[in-house]
This record gives sequence, C-alpha cells and structure tokens, in this order.
Amino acid sequence: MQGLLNFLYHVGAFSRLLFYMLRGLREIRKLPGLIVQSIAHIGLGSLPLVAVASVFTGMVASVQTAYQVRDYVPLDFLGAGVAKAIMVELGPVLTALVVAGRVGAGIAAELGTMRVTEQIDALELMAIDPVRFLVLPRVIAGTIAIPLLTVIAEVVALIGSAVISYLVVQVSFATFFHGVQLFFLPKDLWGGLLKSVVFGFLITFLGCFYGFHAEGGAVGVGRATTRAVVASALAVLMFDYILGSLIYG
Amino acid sequence: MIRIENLYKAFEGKPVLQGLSLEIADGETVAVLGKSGSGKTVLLKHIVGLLKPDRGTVWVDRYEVPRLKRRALYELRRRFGFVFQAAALFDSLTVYENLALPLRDRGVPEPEIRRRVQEALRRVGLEGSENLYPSEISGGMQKRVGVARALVTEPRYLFYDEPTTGLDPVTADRINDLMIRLKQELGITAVLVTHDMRSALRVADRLVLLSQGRIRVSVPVTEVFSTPDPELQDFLESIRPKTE
Ligand SMILES: Nc1ncnc2c1ncn2[C@@H]1O[C@H](COP(=O)(O)OP(=O)(O)OP(=O)(O)O)[C@@H](O)[C@H]1O
Ligand SMILES: [Mg+2]
Repeated sequence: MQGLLNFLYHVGAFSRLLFYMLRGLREIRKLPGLIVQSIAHIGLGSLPLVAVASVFTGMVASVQTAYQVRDYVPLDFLGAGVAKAIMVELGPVLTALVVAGRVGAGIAAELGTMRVTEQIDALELMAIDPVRFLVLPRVIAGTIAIPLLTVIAEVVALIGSAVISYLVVQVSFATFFHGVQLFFLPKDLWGGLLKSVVFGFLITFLGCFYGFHAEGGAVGVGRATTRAVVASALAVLMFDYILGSLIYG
Repeated sequence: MIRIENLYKAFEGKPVLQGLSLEIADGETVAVLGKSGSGKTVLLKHIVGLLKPDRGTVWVDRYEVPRLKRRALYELRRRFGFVFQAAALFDSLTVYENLALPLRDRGVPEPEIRRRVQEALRRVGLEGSENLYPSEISGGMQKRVGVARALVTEPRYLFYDEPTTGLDPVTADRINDLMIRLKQELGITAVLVTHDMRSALRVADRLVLLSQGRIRVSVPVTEVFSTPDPELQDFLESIRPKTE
C-alpha cells in the first residue's frame, strides 16, 4: 500500500515537472546560452572520466570475447563481436552509468543546495521560472551531450580493444577493423545512440527532479543526491532492457 | 496597498497563522515584530505568493494573490523586491551577475543594466565588489547585496526579512538609513520583519506585533511607548536604557 502510494506520488510529481518543462519551452529564446554552457559543463567535464572508463571497457571486451569464442570462432571475427557489444550495450550503458554518478549527482546537489538556501524561491520572486531557468537547460544539454560522449566513448573503446587484441591474441589492426565492418549493421549504431539519448534525458531529469524537491538542509541535499544516482542507475538499466527489446528483439 | 484577510496556515497540523488580518497603505512602512518561530517569514511568503493560505486571502493592489494564475503572479511580482533572511544569493554568480540577472531576464539592454547595477551597489555602499562571488564576501556584505538585488528592479513594494539581524551596529545603521531613504525618495511601501527594535523604531511608521498567529498589537511608532501591551513592552525592554 505504502509502495503503491509512493509510486503514484512519483508518477504525479514526474508528470508535473515534465509539464512545467514543456511550459518553459515557450520562453525558448532565453535558453540557448544556458544550454551551451550546460553542454560544456556536462560534456567536457565528463570527457576524461568517460575516456578512461571506455579504454578499459574496450580492453576487457577484447579479452572477454576472445576467451568466450576462441574455441568455436576464428579470431578474425573478434572485431565484429567486440564492436557489436560496444555499440549496442557497453558504450551507451557504461557511459550512462559513469555520467549518472558524476553529472546526476552534481545536478542534484547543485539544485538541492539552491532549494534549501532559498535561491530557487529568489528566482520565483524575480519572476524567473526556475524550471525554465534551471531544469530545462540541464535536461536539454544532457540529452545532447550524453549521446556525443557515447560516440567518443565507443571510438575510444574500439581503439583500446584493437590494441589489446593485437597484444594479447595477435589479431592485427587490419583484421580487427575488417571484422568490425564485416558484420556491421546501421541498427547497431543508431540503436545504441537512441538508447543514449534516452539515458541522457533520464539522468539529467532525475538529477533535477530530486534536487528540485530537496528539503531539510544539508542532510536533505545529501539524500537528494543519493536518490538521484540510485534512481538514474536503475532507470538506465530498466530502459536499456525495454529499448533493447523494442529495437533488437 | 496590501490587505491580508483572515489568513490561516498550518504545517503538518501545526498552526502558524490563525486568522491574521493586516492592512498596509501605499507609502507606509510597517515593522512586523514577533518571537522566533511566530510566523513572520511565513506571513511575508504569503504576501508574495510563495506560500498558499489554508484559508483567508491576500490582496495586493487589485489582485488577489492566492488566486492569481502563474503568469499574472509573475507579472505582479515585478513590483516586489524581497530581501531574504539568509540573503539567498546565487552562489554560482558574481555580485554583478546576481543583480543583473532579473534585469537581463526582462530584456533590459546591457548599458541600462550596468547603470542600474552600479546605482544599486552604490546605494548599499558596495561599489567595487562587482566581481566577487558570494562566498568571497562577509555575511554582512551578503545581506547588503541581498538588499541591492531587491532594489535593482525598482520595486514598488519591498519586503525585508530581518535585514539587520547579525550585523554590527554601524552596518545595521547603514541599512536603516538606506531603508529610510528609499521610503522618502522613492515612496516605496515596505514590510520590515525584524527583532531589532531600534531599527523598527527608526524606519517604520507603524509597528505590529505577531503573536499566536494573529496581529496582537498595531500602533504608530509614536505611540509605542505609551501602549500598555505587556508583550510589546517586553520587546521594548531590549532597548530601554537600564535605569538601576
Ligand atoms: N515550509 C515549511 N514547512 C514546514 N514548516 C514550516 C515551513 N515554513 C515555516 N514553517 C514553520 O512555521 C513556523 C514559523 O516559521 P517562520 O519562519 O515564519 O518564523 P519566523 O517568525 O520568521 O522566525 P524567525 O524570527 O526565527 O525567522 C516555524 O515553526 C517553522 O518551523
Ligand atoms: Mg523568519
């Protein structure tokens, strides 16, 4: 019962914030500067972390795939398997999870602090719609920046993977990338990127949501941050399954 | 003109305002006194539409605040300046940007923004602090920036939530002088929430005492000392010179 009420409360609160965001779009001409700023903040800020995470992802993908298939499949096809895994799953999901920790938490902490120190009330009193000013730019920026980060992550992961394939199982770069091309389907790429668009939206939306509704001082901000990270990680995995089934099922 | 009619507000069953009524004439400055937790800030937030009453209503000019649609409320708020108890400056923005923000959002041209920001900072004696961040200035300076930010939009109504609390007497007097000048020069209508009796007596035309969710006493400052209300006299104790 409690769980059901909580669920309904969240559905209501999410819809309300979404509605306010759509309403804020009416003042879209005030947004571009803030969006660009947010993209720079989210995108450039996460780049080093995402790059490091992707190198390792790519490396692990090679070793793991080689280990799993070497008895049945010639390693000439290693690139194909690894590339599919990276484009369909690893790139979008791992980038999203890394960014959920960094960006989702950052947004929740920032907006939460603004809420409990009455900066959001101050915006209200200046007749500046806080959803338009704080939430919209971040969510739009996230929805743009995270797919871009994902593309970069996938390129980096493929390179890492190619290097390890050469060093560990002696598959040359040419063979590796020939394998990548051989079984490539456009769907692998755009399906993964479509997922990352949704992930970008989810992470920034949930970060804003929990930050915006923080209450009760520093403790409340901490709670909001934790909730944002947990909720966005779960949402990413859940939507990964749903979208994966729809696109590839 | 501000008219508060029979206002009720409770938080989680705990009553804060219980049938509060108060009228504030144009050009008048009313000081609201009351113990900590008596609901002074809650009262201010009802006037500006940040909180909705459980019962009763608030009129500002010819608008009924709790019933206004969001757009109309935002329109009305352009007449307001609000000084928050804890300043509520945007900590990601410099002092200059804090003041410029509401103007920029309204599409005021940059040279005009610059002029108005300088003017507001001059009024609070903070010329030269434009490029500092809120975290780089003292609490007293933050309060003054808060006042400047409330002024910069040239409001008709100013709401001060304890603007002098926690300031040294010199800075406090500076804020008092500023409030008096704004009243005299610009004819601003103001509500001043304060514990600082000295400030209330200097700045306000009328004192009201908030107690148990209602206005217990409402007197012109000139009659404060001759009003026999014991709670009001308790507040006055704080500034009476000790006679023994
Ligand atoms: N948003 C809120 N949610 C729950 N309770 C609240 C809220 N705002 C105020 N209160 C409660 O209402 C009461 C009055 O608070 P208010 O801030 O108006 O006091 P105050 O008179 O301004 O006190 P102070 O002089 O200390 O600032 C307090 O008990 C406070 O806990
Ligand atoms: Mg207060």
